[in-house]
Amino acid sequence: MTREQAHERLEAYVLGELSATERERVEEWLAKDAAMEQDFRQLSELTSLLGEGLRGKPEAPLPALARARIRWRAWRPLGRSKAVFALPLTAALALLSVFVGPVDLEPNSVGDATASSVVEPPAESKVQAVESAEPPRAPSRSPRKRSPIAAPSADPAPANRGRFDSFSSPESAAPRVNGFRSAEPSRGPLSPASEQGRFLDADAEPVSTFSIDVDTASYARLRETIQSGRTPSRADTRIEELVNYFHYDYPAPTGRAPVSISVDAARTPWDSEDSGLVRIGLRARDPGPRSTSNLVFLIDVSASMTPENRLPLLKRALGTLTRELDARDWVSIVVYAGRTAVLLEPTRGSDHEIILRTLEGLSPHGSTNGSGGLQMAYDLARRHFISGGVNRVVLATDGDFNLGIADPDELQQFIERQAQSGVFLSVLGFGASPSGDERLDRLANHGNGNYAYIDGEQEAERVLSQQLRSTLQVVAKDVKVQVTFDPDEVESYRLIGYDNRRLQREDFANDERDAGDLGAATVVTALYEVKTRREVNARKLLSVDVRYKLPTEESSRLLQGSGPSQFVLFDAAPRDLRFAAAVSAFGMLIRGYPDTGTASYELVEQWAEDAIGGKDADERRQFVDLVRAVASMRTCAPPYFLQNGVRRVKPECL
Amino acid sequence: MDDDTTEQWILGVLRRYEEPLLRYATALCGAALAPDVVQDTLLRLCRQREAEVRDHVAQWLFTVCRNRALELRRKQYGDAELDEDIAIPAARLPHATLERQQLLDHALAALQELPARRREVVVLKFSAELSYREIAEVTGLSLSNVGVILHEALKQVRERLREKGVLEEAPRSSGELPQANSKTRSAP
Repeated sequence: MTREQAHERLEAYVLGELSATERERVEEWLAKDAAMEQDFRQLSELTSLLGEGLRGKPEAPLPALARARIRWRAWRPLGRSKAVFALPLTAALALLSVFVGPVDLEPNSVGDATASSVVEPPAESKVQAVESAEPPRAPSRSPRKRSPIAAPSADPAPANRGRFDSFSSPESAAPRVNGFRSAEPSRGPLSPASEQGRFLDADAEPVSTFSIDVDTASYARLRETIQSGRTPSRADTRIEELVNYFHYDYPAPTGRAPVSISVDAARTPWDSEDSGLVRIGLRARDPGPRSTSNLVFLIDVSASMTPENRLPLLKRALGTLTRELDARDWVSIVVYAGRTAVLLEPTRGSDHEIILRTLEGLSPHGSTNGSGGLQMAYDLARRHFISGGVNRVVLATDGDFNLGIADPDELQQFIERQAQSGVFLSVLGFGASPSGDERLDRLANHGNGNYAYIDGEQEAERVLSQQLRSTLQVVAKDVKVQVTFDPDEVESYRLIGYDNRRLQREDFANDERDAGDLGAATVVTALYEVKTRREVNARKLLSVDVRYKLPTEESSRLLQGSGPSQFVLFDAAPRDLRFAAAVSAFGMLIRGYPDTGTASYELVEQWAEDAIGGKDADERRQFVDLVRAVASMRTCAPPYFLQNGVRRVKPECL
Repeated sequence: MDDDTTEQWILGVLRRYEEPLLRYATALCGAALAPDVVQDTLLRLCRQREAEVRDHVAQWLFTVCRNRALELRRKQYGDAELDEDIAIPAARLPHATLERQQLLDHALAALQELPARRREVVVLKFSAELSYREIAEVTGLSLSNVGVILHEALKQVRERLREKGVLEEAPRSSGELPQANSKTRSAP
């Protein structure tokens, strides 16, 4: 340990926070370094003084009434059973009021009962009153028995009230120490993002914040995996991307906001007694005809791109895209492999011949050691920037690349800087491995981008032709959702999916913190599974806030949605909600989420089948097929059973 | 019976944490709202299962307290954004010399100058006596950050106190003194 390090640890040493070895090292230094010894003495003095000074009797003690309430509740815990809210408490209250006179439910007065002698049953309404304690009562209100709470006059803080340090400044979000920003995002209270599928306690964490995800890559990859007979893996299944692959009917935004919020709820089909599903849907507006576009195709032509489902498919996919373009648009092509080169200088989008011929001529060669590919593509895009139009780098690759920046953090920062120039990114994955997929997902997240996985011509058609506007055109950027639960109504909850999209509470209002972008006419869905304290039923359980930025602005705007009105029976719920639930359950099973109740692939198949319909009925039917395939795979893994010590193949797996 | 031990446990928690929680809540949202905050926090504790909270109860209490304090504060003073102002209360040392009291007053004033986030860490350390790890969990900062923040905070306080002339100058260099100071020091 250097002197510097020892010196830095003096406080921790004084406060007893060091490990045994660290303590020894510091003591070694203290023994030989008089200056540090002096420092240590001073520090000891100071910390002991501060301790004394900051541990005085609190100015406002807990009033006896409060203490009584707590004692009562400790004795009669409400627990988790629904039955507790039945008659007894209210009856007790009624009974009490007969003997004691009307029990004043205001927290700021003692009422007729003398707090110290009567243990009052704290009916829910009382706690309610405490929750809504708005401006403290004026002291003159209750002349009878003065409650200690009622006197706000001696407020010690007024001098400090004027000095507000905003928490939403980037500095406070991650304090810079020695010039380094601490690893983002830091751990939130009691909820590391790695514990997926865990229910969170609404008391400890009433607020849930996340960035939207419009990518659909995970679904396409899953489809590809299942259709080639392999079992889906949990690691690369991003549940929200499965759900968001499909179309849901939400009302279009009205007025000037580019996005609408819809909230509805139903009982959870896999746990209908105890929990409900809340669906939050965002729908982006449709701005009409596509804007002028300036696109740079950045194509990976390294040797790894040889297989049929990579470069050959890529060429056809970009061909599909090209055919959608016209005279207003500009296209350039940059390739990278052993080296990087501009194969096609900016060309009018109407020159399909030239563009298609250039694409046709691509052939895989060389190692994946392209360097400066990204840089070149972005430079090219910027040079022909179309103000008010779509400016995008379209990266097509299998994810096994080296774009010249090896360090992932550096790459992330590079991408973020590029994104600030107004050039967005679309990532098209072809034949990616799980690690490649992960790399591509991250790249898109940080580059104001979206990520689609092209597992076949149909998907190419879907992403690059039918939904081209959604893919290319952003209608609202940095879209974040924040849900605030009422801990008196909600016991616990979990957000299904969005596992690597979680944000800290203060990130919501922090405009420096990036989030996902909404393409034209896209629809995004998030499902929360919620355990309520009482019967799963109507009430204001939660509020939903959405922040977004218009594509050309840097300050966010706030949109507020209102909570669900009731939890309908699952079978009576709208088709789209039932389908989203089925897809979510599918994802949860694959990912191995805990607490999935009665969910099984068979049930998922049933729920999904009953919900086929709407614009994407065909896709939904295909989903049901996938579920069936997985169900039989599961039975067939292993495909044999032991009979009298001999392995026999299961009949259904033949 | 199970219920009895839980009740005893909660009462024990109440005894032990009532004052630190009140101080923390007061720092976050003022003395007027603090008792409500602490009452709510403890009532909520009652609806947890003891076994699930028991081994991290301090962290749980202060987290819930924090949430509640900020919420009530926002309702009261209507902040559009979440900004927090942590008040370091003035304090009177009952049997201190005038000098010591003065030193304390200056120290607390110096603490008040720190950014709110840092002040909160200081309060959680000295007033609530939480460990670094617990402070990290409650505030969402990383463990190393907590250490650094406390280091910087105390450093700043000392500098201020020196400026005001109430604290001696710190020795500059690491001069190795002739006196062989080989006593080992035990952490307090």
